[in-house]
Amino acid sequence: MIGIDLGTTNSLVAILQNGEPVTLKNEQGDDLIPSAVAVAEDGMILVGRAARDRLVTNPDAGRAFFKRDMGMTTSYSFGGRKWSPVECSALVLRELKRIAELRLGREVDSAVITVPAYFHDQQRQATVDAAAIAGMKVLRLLNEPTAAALAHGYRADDELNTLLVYDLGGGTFDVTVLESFDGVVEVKASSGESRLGGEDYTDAFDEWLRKEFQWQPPDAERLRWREQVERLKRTLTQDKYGIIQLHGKPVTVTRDDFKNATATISARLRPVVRRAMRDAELTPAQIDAVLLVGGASRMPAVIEDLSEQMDGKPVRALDPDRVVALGAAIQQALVAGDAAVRDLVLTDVCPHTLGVETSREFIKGQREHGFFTPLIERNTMVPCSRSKEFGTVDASQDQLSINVYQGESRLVKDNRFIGKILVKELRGKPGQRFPGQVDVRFSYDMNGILEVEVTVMETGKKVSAVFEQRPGTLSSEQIAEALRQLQPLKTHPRDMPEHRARLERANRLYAELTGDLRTSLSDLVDAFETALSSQDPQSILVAAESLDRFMHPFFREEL
Amino acid sequence: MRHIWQLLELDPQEVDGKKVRQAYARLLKVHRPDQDPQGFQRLRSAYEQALEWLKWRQNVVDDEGDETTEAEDGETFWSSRVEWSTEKPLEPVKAPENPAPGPLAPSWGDGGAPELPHEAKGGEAEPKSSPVKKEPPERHWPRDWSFGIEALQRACLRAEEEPEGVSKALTAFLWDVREHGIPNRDMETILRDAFDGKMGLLARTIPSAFLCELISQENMRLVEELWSRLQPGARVHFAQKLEQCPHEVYQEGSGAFLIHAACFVALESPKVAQSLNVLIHRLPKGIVNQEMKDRLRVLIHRGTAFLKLPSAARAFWNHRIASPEETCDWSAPDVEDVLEATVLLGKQWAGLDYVQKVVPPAVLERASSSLLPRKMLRALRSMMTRDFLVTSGFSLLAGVLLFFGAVKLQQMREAYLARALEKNKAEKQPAVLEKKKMLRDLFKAQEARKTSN
Repeated sequence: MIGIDLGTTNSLVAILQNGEPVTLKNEQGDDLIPSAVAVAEDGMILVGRAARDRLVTNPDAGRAFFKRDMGMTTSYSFGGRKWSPVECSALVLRELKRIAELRLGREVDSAVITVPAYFHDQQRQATVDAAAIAGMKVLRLLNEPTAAALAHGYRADDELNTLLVYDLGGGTFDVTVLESFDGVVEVKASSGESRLGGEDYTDAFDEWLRKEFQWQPPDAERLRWREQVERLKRTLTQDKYGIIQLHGKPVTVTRDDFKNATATISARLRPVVRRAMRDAELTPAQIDAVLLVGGASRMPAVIEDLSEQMDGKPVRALDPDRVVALGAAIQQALVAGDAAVRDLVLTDVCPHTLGVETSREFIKGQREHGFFTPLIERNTMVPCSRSKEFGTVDASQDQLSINVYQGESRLVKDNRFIGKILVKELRGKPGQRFPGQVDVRFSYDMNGILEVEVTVMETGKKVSAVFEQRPGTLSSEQIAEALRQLQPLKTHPRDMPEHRARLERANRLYAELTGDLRTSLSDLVDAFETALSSQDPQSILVAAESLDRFMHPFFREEL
Repeated sequence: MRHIWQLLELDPQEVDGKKVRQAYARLLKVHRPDQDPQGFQRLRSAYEQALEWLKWRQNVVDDEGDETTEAEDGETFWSSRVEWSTEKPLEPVKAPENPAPGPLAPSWGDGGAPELPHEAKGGEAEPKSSPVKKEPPERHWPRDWSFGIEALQRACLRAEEEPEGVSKALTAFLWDVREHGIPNRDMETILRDAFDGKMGLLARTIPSAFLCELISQENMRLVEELWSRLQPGARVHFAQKLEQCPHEVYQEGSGAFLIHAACFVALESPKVAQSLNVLIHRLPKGIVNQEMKDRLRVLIHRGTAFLKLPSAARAFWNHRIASPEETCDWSAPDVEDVLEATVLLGKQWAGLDYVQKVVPPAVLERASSSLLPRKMLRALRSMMTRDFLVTSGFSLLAGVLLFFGAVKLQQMREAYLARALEKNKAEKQPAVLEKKKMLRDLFKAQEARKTSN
């Protein structure tokens, strides 16, 4: 069993080793695996760094940031076929599984996977599907901020600590308020936005740069340009100034420019924090510390703004890239009943409001439909169970359709439809005590699975449904089919991930270099290719080493 | 409450926030939420109640001015949503199991499906009866409501200058209630807070839709309290609001209140009572007993009849009918006035039956026989008053003016007639004269023929 952080930009796998959570590294010594998928010229599927490097030179050969499309019906075309976000995620998960098996020396068949707290049902289900395609059973989906808090609270003292976890990742933003004491990590409230993160900052910055400097990058260099913007963003996180090449000459951009360019994105952060605080019924004065999680939370503008909002509370940064994966590892141990975590208990909340559709009569005789009546309010501690009574509109009505929705809007049309239950034989008969009355009970468990039970009050008859298998998710045949399609086609040394990655990186570098350096690189790559073709491990190793030695200085900042 | 401490394995005499948390943390490892969901929910409920109780105790202690300031840091930050009262800790709100009593939207809108009896029926402890607690602590209502609540509080503060603002704010708040499904208990707390005990103001300003909401939620305790805070005269208006509610919302408790209110206003305003009566007749059988219905009918009949009397006389008779055993000086001057006004209505008056039951027949007889002389006497008496001179002075002046006016008018009339005659003469044309002459001749000829015959 492993803990997986399936991120928008990077993914990690971690386990609990000798009572300590650790991340697992791949053959290249990286534990941050880019969440990217690409197809090489020869049809081989690339995952991770190799894929990301290939995307730099061939933006249309693959896909990154697919986490943001999870649970939607979008598909991407590359490598001669269509790919769903679920399949892309499955490839990343399979890579993580491979790394874990490599490091642990045994087969891994189940995992705890983290998802943004604000992922809704379909997105969660899509994640479970992706794991199934990757050949893993999901033991539990853990909310990312909760995972971060778990990693923090794991070694915390027994004193009461109230924390605000601020998780601004690549593509999602989550805020969670929680308490930890005596080995109990208790989530009090979660809130967030599923499409707000570092990538949005890059987008906004990109747009600003183009507008400000009248710059239109050529189509072929789209991703390369984006990479430059991304790098500039990172530079501005550390320094006050950054330099970018525009129209062939360097241009200086200041941190304030970045702040102004992304002001509209930053403006969306505060309300989310406010909502979480309100739901937890706490004021900033009652928060002991703020934990920053996610790469984008490093941005000075974000930290300043947050610190101001939280009355200057100490803002503590864990290792923002890894803390979620470490939390997942701890949760994995909890689920497995590991002795090391016997004294740790996690209680979580349901992040969305769940309810049913009802109609109302504001003016006599005029009935309006489509209102949302909540049963389980958001931030109710799970597992939980709530019930309410409802009735038919008319005594002659025989059937009642109970439509279950999830969301925070007053009208169901703005909320997410989960499913429905049809209750029959309700028509009013003389002498009934509860004509047309039903009792609807919602039970929500730790895995975010909702069970709805409807009891007809008159007869005591029960109808129930478990909303586990949601619309738009895969059947077992589909999973089998997807599995078959993603099977590796061949196992030539050239296709081993590490060699793939090295070659892709070399290709990327080749595109950036000129003159002598380019010729030297070309020679080294040729030598490496020759060694690969010979399939002789010794010569491959030698060629790889000299190639790495050449490339290393160019990639220092990425490592 | 006791079972909570049993569940947490604690002694309530010596608990504090830390001990409760420790106990919870320890037991949580036995009742893990993923392995023992039921056990967890029980434990969680006990834990939350224990914390609420602690906070309540903390508040009481603070209020008594004790020097117990070494209160655990944790205390102040637990959520507070509980109502504050001394009874409360003995009967704590069971947060996780009890959903808001009365599904708001369904009971309001879903075809008037009868609501099931809820445990909340008047069962809550009265917050105002707390002898220790001086003022409630600051509550943290969800943000979505708090705008409405703030508006309500502002409107209440400005109630003197702008009375209609309160109604408006209440209507707005009602929208919040319906939209967010604010639990009954919270709604009442919010109202009491906002009106700061001025329930009379609330009673006067409450919009009928709001009253409907209270009734449909069977919050009769509040409705009755509002009713009791009103002056008898103002209750008619309140009863009119009751009439605005559709009959579907009335249940057993509210039905009884409705007929009580109808009976109360029947004498003062039989019209309102009559329309309430119509409403009552539409209620399902069994909600209001027949005896009360009969009584209401009688009261409406009496009220309608007595409407013909001046209000002083009405009040007098209503009092007499209500307490017939009380002795009365029938010859007192004000009583005589009443008798006179009553007798004036004549023998056909529908209210005579009621009056006859409480007046000795001799008194009534005497009143009707002395009606004429008494009237004359009164006319004389009034003439002797100071007003007489003024009145006659005015009359004299008016007489003189009238005389001169009449003379002038006569002159004008004569002048007009003379003018008209002249004009007429000039206008008369020969043809017409000729025709007239011809007719006259014809007439004469006829006459002559008649006489010759």
